[in-house]
Amino acid sequence: MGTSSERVLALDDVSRRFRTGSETVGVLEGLTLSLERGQRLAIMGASGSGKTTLLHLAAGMDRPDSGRVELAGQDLASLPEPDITHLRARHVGLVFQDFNLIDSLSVRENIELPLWLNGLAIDRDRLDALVGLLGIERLMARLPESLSGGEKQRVAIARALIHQPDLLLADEPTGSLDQSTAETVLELFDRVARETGATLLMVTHNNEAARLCERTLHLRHGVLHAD
Amino acid sequence: MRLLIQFSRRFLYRHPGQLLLALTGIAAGVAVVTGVALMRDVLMQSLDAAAEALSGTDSVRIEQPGGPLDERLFAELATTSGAPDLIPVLRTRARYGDQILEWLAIDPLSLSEGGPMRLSGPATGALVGSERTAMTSQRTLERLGLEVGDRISVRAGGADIELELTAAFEQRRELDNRLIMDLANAQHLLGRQGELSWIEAPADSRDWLEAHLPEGLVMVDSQQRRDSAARLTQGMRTNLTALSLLGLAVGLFVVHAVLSFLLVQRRRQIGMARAIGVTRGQLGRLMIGETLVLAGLGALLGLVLGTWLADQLVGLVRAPAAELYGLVTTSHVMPTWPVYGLIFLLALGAATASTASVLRAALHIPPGLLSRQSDGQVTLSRPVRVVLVSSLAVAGLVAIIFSAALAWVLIGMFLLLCACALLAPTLGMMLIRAWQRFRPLSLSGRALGMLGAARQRLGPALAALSLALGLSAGIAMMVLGFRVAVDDWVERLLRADTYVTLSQGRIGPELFDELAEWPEIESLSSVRQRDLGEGVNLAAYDTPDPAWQGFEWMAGGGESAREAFLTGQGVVVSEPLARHRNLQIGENIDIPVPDQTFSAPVVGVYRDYASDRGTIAIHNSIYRELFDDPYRDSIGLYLADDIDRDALDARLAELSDAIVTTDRHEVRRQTLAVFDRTFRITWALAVLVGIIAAIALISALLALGLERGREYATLRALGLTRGGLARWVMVQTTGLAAAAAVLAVPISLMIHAVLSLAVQPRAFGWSVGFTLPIGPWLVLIPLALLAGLLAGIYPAWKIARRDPAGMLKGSS
Repeated sequence: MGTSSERVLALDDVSRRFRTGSETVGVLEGLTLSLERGQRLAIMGASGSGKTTLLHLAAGMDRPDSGRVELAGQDLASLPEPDITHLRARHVGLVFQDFNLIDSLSVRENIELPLWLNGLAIDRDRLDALVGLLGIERLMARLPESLSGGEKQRVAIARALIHQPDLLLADEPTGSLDQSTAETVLELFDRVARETGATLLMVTHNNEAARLCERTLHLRHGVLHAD
Repeated sequence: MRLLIQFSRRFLYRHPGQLLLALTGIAAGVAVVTGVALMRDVLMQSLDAAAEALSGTDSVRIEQPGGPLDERLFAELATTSGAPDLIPVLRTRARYGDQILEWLAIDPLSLSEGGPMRLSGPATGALVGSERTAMTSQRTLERLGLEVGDRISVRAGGADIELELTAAFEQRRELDNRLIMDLANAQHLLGRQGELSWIEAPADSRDWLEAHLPEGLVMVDSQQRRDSAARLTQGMRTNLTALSLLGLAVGLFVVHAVLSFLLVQRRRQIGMARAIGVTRGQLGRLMIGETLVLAGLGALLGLVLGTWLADQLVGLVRAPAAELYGLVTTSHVMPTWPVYGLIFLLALGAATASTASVLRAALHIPPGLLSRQSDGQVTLSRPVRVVLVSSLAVAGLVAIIFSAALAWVLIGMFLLLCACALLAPTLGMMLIRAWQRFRPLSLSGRALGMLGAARQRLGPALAALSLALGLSAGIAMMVLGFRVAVDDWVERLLRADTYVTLSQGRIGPELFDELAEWPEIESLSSVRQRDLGEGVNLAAYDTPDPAWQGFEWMAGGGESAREAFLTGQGVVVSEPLARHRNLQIGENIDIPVPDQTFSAPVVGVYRDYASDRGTIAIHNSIYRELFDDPYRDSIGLYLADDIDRDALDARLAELSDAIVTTDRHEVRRQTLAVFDRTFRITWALAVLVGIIAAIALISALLALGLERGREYATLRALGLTRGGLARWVMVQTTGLAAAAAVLAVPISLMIHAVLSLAVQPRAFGWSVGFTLPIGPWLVLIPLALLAGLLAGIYPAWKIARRDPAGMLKGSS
């Protein structure tokens, strides 16, 4: 593990279990990983292997049953929920498989959401550059329901990066797209991530997506394997 | 089908909150309708209930039109060969504190052995034991906080009378609020020796009575008495029924909102079911079955709640029913299965109709649909909406303006409200979008923006809330405007400086003549009232100049009218009577007088809010001639300037201990107190409708919260704190309430106008000027915002505490 000043994310001996009826299922068992600034890590695994749970723990949206999660140098266990939310808003960008755009807000408003949540002014130059890079300039006034899947994911990527987060968490970013659209989105994702220098943790079962990252780990039975 | 029913049952089990809201919506609406229906029945039964308890339902009543019966008639009839069992009755009203009781005096020995009530030896003894002994029901004793043996002071016939309660009836609900007393004792205490109100006889003795009754007496059977009560209270009952149906309509908005939400939740499952071969017919039957089960359960709950509510409403209606119509009601309702059955069927039908659009949307879900979003729901296109709203508005206005019947005016108002309900979602969303455009980047702008995209979900709640607020404000404006009109009328009418009555009832001519001689008194007015039947009053006035100027003429009047009035060449009538009988100036009106009919032309129609059945006024000198009645009920004293009032009161007191003086300010206060009591039930119903609307708002917001759960979870994931999300939801509820409050302003104006200008004249016969009291808006708008804020607390708490990770995981 690197020093905390370089380290953006660290999970140390993290376990997470869920109760289903009378049974308790261990999803993650003693998982440890660390991500330094600028690194790109892909986590691969079958459906139900705990990839999304891992991502939620990393984002502070879920709490481990044991172990320690450190985000942007802060131990999440020591923080109250509102502080974790503020930390996530400031330091994390999220890209979901199902895009999760707010249907009632326009594309521009969706992209600007993180800035508003962080109380940041809109940097027109950066916004124009980002949407230009993603090729969504002409979509800005439209509502999400009128966009294609690929367009939606491009908007979601812009929303995840607009506030220059330290960590980009991507959950199956091409999971809902057809192959051709997925390739285009991955290409863009790669380019934008490189140009912005974002630290990336991506969970996927898509080999193509995983290839964007320098390092790939496999999650099996709640445990990470380097393979 | 069995599997489909399982599918439905399990789904509903997994959504107990939604199920509870739907049941609450139906139950609340049904409760209001049931409460009012049972309370209306109490009004209808009140005229007869007690008398029937004494003599049986199958009885006929012998009455003297326009006056009391002479007791000698009873003696004559009872001693005639072959006479049936006859019960002589004297009836009056007595006030105990703020409660009005019916005082029924009977001859206990005349109650037949086979009759429904036979007093036992001790009970008879308790009744005739001493001059002041009386009986009542155990329930009434409990309600008034009294016990057998207590002495009470009641006010009756202008006098305070001490009574001793010597026994109580058990299990005689019909005798609630009745004081039963020996006839001779009551006659003596009330100063009405030799008088009877009526004689009760078995219905099968009609032929015998027809052969033996003198001319001029009438026989009235129980159905006629029931019809009479129905006519008396028609205006009041119709208004309350209309209000209660509106309560049900608002409740149905809740049902619609909840069921359409449940549909959204199941779109995916329904799509899958359709994909594997479930037909539209099977789906339709399933959904109708679900609605009927839900509506049935809710309606049963509503019937129970409504029965309890009716008892509370009877408490509110008791005073106005007695003061306005002379009807003393029982304390408790007496429900019947037909009433319950009818309301149950109404609830099932209305609930099924209210979910028709939901059903249609469900049947249009394409097989295999996987989306849970609400796109694709069936909505009316803009042109269809425009045509529908315009048609409803035009039809409503035509019914209101051109029909003379109250029922059509109420139907017209209902059509206008339907048009408003259809317009409310569109206009409300326009208001919300306008605010969003004004503050697009703020939390409120963004939160309201999300509302703007949920018109389908929020439309019914917005409509229900704006209608309920508009209804409450409109009723409040009508009542306040009406109160101002009544106050003006009383102020104008009460010209005398002070009013004299006698605690022993009527005032003899000697007192009037003596007062006329006093130098302190410039002039005297007086009134003697007589019931002409069907609630119509005959008022005999002495009208010096200032008293005559107290009449506000709606038609006729003036000096020539006064001349005709003074000489018996004409009568004046109140506005309600003129409207009910469609009387025009110059048209003759008949007044039944013992052994003859007096007929005179109407020379004036005056404003009057004292009786909604109407009054015929003639000059006192004419009345004395016609009825051979020298008495007066009250005298108005017009005093000379600079009179020492204390000295005058002392002089009056010296004249007789029984003289009671009341100054005009006190009379005005008492009149307005009666007015306020009359409208307590209206306020109560308006509040109930408001509560149901609040349930509609909460259910819609919860539904929105659950439907938009993924978006809320995304906001949380992007960094909106729990507090921020709670504020977000609260802004939405308050924004929705604010939009509804703004829409309620024109709706309340419309309701106020229809109630004041169309319903009041048709229901009660009086016109009320259209004023614009804005007080209700100043109260209701902040209240609506507060309600919106409060209504948001639960959804905000529920939405904010949800785990975003779980929500996002569940959605992917």
